[in-house]
Formats: sequence, C-alpha cells, structure tokens
Amino acid sequence: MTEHTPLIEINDLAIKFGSHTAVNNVTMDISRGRIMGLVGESGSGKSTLANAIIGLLPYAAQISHGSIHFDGRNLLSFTAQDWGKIRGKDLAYVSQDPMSALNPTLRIGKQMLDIQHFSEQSTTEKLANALAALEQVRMPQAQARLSMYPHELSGGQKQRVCIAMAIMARPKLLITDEATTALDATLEVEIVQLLKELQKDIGCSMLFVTHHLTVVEELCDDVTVMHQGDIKECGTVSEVFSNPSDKYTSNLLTCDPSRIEEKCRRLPIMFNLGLKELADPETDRKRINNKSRPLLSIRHLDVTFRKPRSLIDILTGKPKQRVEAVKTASLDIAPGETVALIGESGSGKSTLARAAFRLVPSEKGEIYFDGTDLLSITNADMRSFRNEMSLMMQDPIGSLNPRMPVGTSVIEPLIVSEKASGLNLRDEAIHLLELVGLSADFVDRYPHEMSGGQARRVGVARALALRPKMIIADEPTAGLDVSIQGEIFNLLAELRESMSLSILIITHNLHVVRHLADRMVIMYHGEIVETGTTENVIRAPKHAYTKVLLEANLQAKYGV
Amino acid sequence: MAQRTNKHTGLTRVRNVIRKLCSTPLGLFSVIIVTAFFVVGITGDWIAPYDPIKLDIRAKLQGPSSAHWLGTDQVGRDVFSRLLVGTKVASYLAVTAVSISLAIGIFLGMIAAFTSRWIDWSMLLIFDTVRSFPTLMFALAVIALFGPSINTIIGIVVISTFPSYARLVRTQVLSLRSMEYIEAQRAMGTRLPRILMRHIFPNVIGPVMIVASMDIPLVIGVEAGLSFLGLGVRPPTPSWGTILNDGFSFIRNTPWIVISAGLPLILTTVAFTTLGERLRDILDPKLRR
Repeated sequence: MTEHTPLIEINDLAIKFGSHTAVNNVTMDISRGRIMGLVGESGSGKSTLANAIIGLLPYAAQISHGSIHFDGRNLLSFTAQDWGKIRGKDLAYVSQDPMSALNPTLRIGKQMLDIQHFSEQSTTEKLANALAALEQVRMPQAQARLSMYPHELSGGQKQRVCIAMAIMARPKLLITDEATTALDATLEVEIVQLLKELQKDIGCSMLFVTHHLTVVEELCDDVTVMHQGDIKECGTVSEVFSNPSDKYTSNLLTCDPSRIEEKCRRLPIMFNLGLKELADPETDRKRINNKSRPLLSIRHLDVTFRKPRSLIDILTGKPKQRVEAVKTASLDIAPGETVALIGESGSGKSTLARAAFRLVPSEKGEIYFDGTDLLSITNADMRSFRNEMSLMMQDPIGSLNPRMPVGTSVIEPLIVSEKASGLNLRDEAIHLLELVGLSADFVDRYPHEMSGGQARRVGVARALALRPKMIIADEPTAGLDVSIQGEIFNLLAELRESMSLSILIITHNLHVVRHLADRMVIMYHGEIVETGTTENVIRAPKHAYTKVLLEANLQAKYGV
Repeated sequence: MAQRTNKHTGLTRVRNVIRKLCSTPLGLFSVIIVTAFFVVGITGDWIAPYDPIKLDIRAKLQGPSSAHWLGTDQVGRDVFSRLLVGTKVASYLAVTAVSISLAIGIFLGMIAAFTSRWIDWSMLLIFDTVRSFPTLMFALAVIALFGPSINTIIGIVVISTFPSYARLVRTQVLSLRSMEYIEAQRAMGTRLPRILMRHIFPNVIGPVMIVASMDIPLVIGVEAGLSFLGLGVRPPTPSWGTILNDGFSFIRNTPWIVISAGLPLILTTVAFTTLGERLRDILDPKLRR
C-alpha cells in the first residue's frame, strides 16, 4: 500500500440493531499518522462505529451494507483467525473504564505478558517490552508496577497501563473510546498530553471517540461529528471548530458551556439557542439574602472512616486503620445562594455532603442548619430537618428504585415525612414532574425506560417534593451530553429564582458551575483550601491546586 | 391512585413473563408439567378412579389394563390412583417446606445484612454450620428423634435449605444497601422497616424465587428418598416415595410400578429446574433487552 491512501476507509456503512439504525450510510477516512476525533451525543452511533472497525460489534448488530478497509484489506470479510492476527497488533483499543478493563486477579506484568501472545520472544524479553511500554507512558516506578495488582493503582495509572498495553505492539491504529471521560479534569489533561506525545513517537493513526469538544480541539487533527447515526460534518479541527458548515455542529459548539466566556443566567440548548441570557449581577444580589444568618453553616467538621478489622487483625492486635476523609472543613451557605464545592474524586466533597445528612458519622465539629446543630439532635428530631434539605445523588438512574414507577418515587418523600394524607398523590406526582418539564405520562414509567437527562429531572422533582430550603446536588451534570447539561443547568437556575432555593453543587466540572455558582469552595485531600466568589477564584486563584485545576479545566484562552 | 397503576403494570409484567416462558418448547413443557403437578396435587383425591388404600388381594400385581391404567401393586391397590393422591403429598411438601424456608431465610438474611457486624458474623457461622450437615445423616437423626411423619420431613427440609436462602438474601441486601437509591431514601429520613419492605425486598425477591423454584424438586426428592427408605410418609398413605418402595421389591417381574412413580418424579424435577433457569434468564435485568 502506498503511503498516500488512508489507513481506514469506510464506505457507505450501515449498521442496524433490529429495526433501529445505529450507523447510517457512513463514509469516512482515517489518514495515516493523524488523530481523528469522533464526537457526538450519547446514542449518536460513535461507539458502534468504533466497535465495527475493530470487529467487536454486539451480536444484535447487523451490518446491512458498506465496507471497511484497513490498509487495503476488507475488514468485513475477516474470520476469527484473521482478527486474531491484527487485533492488539495492528489495531489497538483503549476502553472507557480503566477500572474494569484490567483483570483484577492478575498482576500488571502478567497481563502485559499475555497481550504479547503473538510474539515468539522469550518471557524475559517480553517483560522488558512491558517495562519499556510502562516507561513510555511515563509511569512512575515502572519496575515495581509490574508486580502490582490493578487495585493498587489509581484511576489515572490504570488508564496509563491500558494505554501501555495498547501501544506495546506499535499499532497502526489506536482506537480510544471515551478514554478520558472517567477521569478528573487534571488527569484528563495529563492523559491527553500523553496520547499526543505517544502518537508522535509511534507515528500511528488514532481514532479518538469522545463527547468532550474541548479535548478534541486540544488533541485531534481531524474531527468527525455524528448525530443519530449520520455524519454531520468532517474536516480538520481548525476548520470545523472555527467555521462549522453544518447547523448541528455549530449548535453543538454554541451550547458547550466551556465556549461561553461570559457568565450566563440561562445557557443555550441544542433546540433553543436563543435561550442564552447573560447573568445580571443585580438579580443575583437580590436573590441572596446575606443579612440573616447562613442557612447551612458547617464548622470545623472532621469525618474519619475506620476500616473494619478482620478477625485475624483483631487477634493479632493490629490497630484500626483510619482514613481522614474531611479535615476541619468550614463552609457557609446563605439563603438563596448557590455554592459550588469543587475537587477531584476522592477529595472528600461527597463525604462532606453525606455528613450534612448524617449518612456518615462525623468525628468533630458542628453543622448548623437554620441555627440548629444537626449533630447534637436525636434521629427523630433530625427527621424534620430532612424535609428542609434534599440530597440529589450522583447517578441519575441509580438513585431511583428500579422496581418503582417514577410517579411513586417522586412522591416518596411526602409519604416518608407523613405529609401525604389528604393529597391526591397521582396529581401531586404529575405536578412535580411538570415542574421539572416532564409530561404527565412519565408517572408510570420505570427508571430504565428513561434517558439520563430525564432521570436527572426526576431526581430534581423528588428533591423538590417537600419544598425544601436547600438542595445539595452531587455531580448533577456528570455523564450528560452538553445540551442536556445546559437543560439541567437552566432548570436549577430557574428553580432557585422561583423557589428561593439555596443550592450546593458538588462537582469537578468547572465549565458548568462557573455560570451557575455565586461562590466556589475548593476542596483538596479532605481540606477546604480556597473559598471566594466565582469571579475572584477564576481571576485570581490563591492555592496551588486551584491554579492547576483552573488550567486543566478552562485553559488559557479565558484569561485565567 | 399511583398504587393502582403500579399493580396494573405489575400484572402486565407477570403476563409478559408467562408469555416469554411459553415461547420456547422447553419453557412451555415446564409450564405445563408444573401446572399439572399442582392441579393434580389439589384435585388428586377427587379425580382418582379408585380408593388408593383399598386392598384387593385377588387383583395383585396386575399389568396395565383399561381398568387399572398403571396396573396394581402387591396388595391389589390401583397404582394410578395412588400416584394421583401421592401427588398431594409431593405438592403439599413442596409448597409448605419451600415457603417456610423462604420466609425464614429472607427474614434472617435481611437482619444479618442490616445489623452490627458481630451479629452478622455469628449468624453466618450458624448458617454455615447448619449447611455443613449432610442432609441424609441429619434427616436420619431427626427421624430417630421425632419419628417419621410429613411434618418431620418439612422440618428437615426447612432447616437444611433456609441457610442458603439467608446467605443469598444477605449478599443481595448488602450490595443493594450501598446503592444510591437506598442512600437517597436514608437522606430523606425513611425508616428502616420501610426501606426494607418497599425498597429492598422487591429487588431481592426475584433471584430468591428462582432459587426456590429450583429447590422444589430437591424437596420432592428428599421426601421420595425418605419414604423409599420407609422413613417418610407412614404407609398406607400413598406418596411417590412409598409407591417406589412398594414397586422396588417387584422390579424384575412388574417394572411398571417403579416406572409409573419414577417418571413423574423425573418430569417434575426437570420441569421445575428448567422453569427456574428460564425465569432467571427472563428476569435478569442484564439479559433483558
């Protein structure tokens, strides 16, 4: 093959799941030595397309017509033996979740040996290859890692191992499916940098599947935009991002909160770009009631987890292991105020929220809600405070009982707090669902019959059932597409104005909260390291971690 | 109001499950056999053509004929009638023993999962101790103490099966307990009994019921085995085990007695096991489309 033909040529490819068309007449090339970004919302068919290239489509999928050529060979005619010869060698794949991509029962070294099964080298040589690959992905203490198990590594390190395994055979094409999505912003930047360098070293082509536009802009040379199985636009990154020719692409770019420099009161959404409304400092000031005492006031809170000892530990007199999740944290939220609690995963931000609901026991400190110390009252007294504050869990679908229709889940707080008597519960459920923009027929649906965005709305509806004074929302926009993020954002912004809600948003996504939050609280390794108004923190971060975080998230272009 | 719609969708779901069950030949077979088993179990006394314990020495050990479809045994009793009435014992045992065992297992399993670790551990120790008894040795010891009767058999089955339900429920509850929707309930102040009944129980019951449906043939087998050894149902009460026992002595000359009691035993065992497996495939959310 000449160097000028594309590495991957996809011609008029259509993939169906039963009657549903996942990929619709797609024609696309991946050039040699270039990085192709494949972007689209969830369900746009981008993962299906990536799986088709590596021959790992689910059984239900059917290729109705079209062709995929790799280096001039027709991949669709490949038998299992043919695939065995090129997978892991010419074609490599890095999956989304580094936690489940590695076998938890095998040491890293063993897994890296196994993947070289096609090679005829001796074990010593293969081990040397593995070590070299780990060093190539900038793994600290590479030699020691070979004898470790996956659970001994952090998320970012595991993803490095996955990438090391993928590049070990110097593949011609590296496919990564949402390889950075599960990682924190700071780690994401590191991995993107790494991929960029590796691609240059090896000279391979890369297909980078993601829904994160900023990463594509940072990493890729070319970009393909998919929507509902169709390719909307294809071109070089600079072309597409600066001058999109397709309406869908331009809408997608307009909706990306990281591309909107000014602070917004309403974000534009895919189907209504005109919704965008800039924040007005005057209304924001009116909304927040700074004169009275804070609604929630956390003072010097310590939360410590003790690891349970096994029988053998107790008999051998091993001391209890303690993990300090939250260290002397203090935090105030005024009535009507929106505060963002920001930190990487494991920084203790979710634990802080759970401690406020007494879901985890606190070691020391006080939590005042409306003047009462929640940590010194009985469980029975605590119950009335649970009506005044609501917790929205991170996973929109997982926080709903899978065997309960949505309408019943939504009114559950009313029943639990014994405020349901005399109410028509079905009407109340419909009312709540309409409040968050869902139609009445959602009452009878089950959680698995909804999309992530719809389930998130149900979560908001349930949080509002008792007309609380405060909502604590744990990653309310995580895992949602850009446009749906905007919808949830607008919903929260609307509700806080109409119901004078205080909101505490826990997140590691600065792009969205930048628009919504009045104040930011940065948490790092269990400690609150910085607080300040959103504008001040972004303009002049004080703590070193805040600076790194802002750099990772917002990048230099917004004048950080 | 919301309750009613809930039940309604529950009913359509049950109908859907049954439709899916009957969609494969093996599934249809198991549904038919299981239904027949329980129908005969309830109506056996009335549909039996002869009195199952009436002796007629002159007509002993006759082969199958139009008068006696499955022949007669060594004292001239009609084997077909004995088989129909014997189904009553089998189905009564299957239902009572498995449901008592289920109730105890679910209750203890939930408690184990929601109490302190020490109680949990002690309960686990008891479960495992009980489970480690060889069922037959245990049964012989219990029968020696209390004498053979159908209630003794129920007791033996309950004691030897409830620990596996309790363990299963405990593991299920432990994994559910850390689910976000349970934590969401705790955050809104839901009391423990309500969390257990409304939010955990419905999500636990599915897998447990499937294991239970696979345990039913085991129960029937234990009864047949003990009755065969003369330690189960007191003669002359007919049960599949006693018929097998009667027929075993004459297996050389009159094999139809053993066959006529053995065949239903095999069929129900296969049917319940298939049903359980099919149910698991249909109800498992991971396999559901």
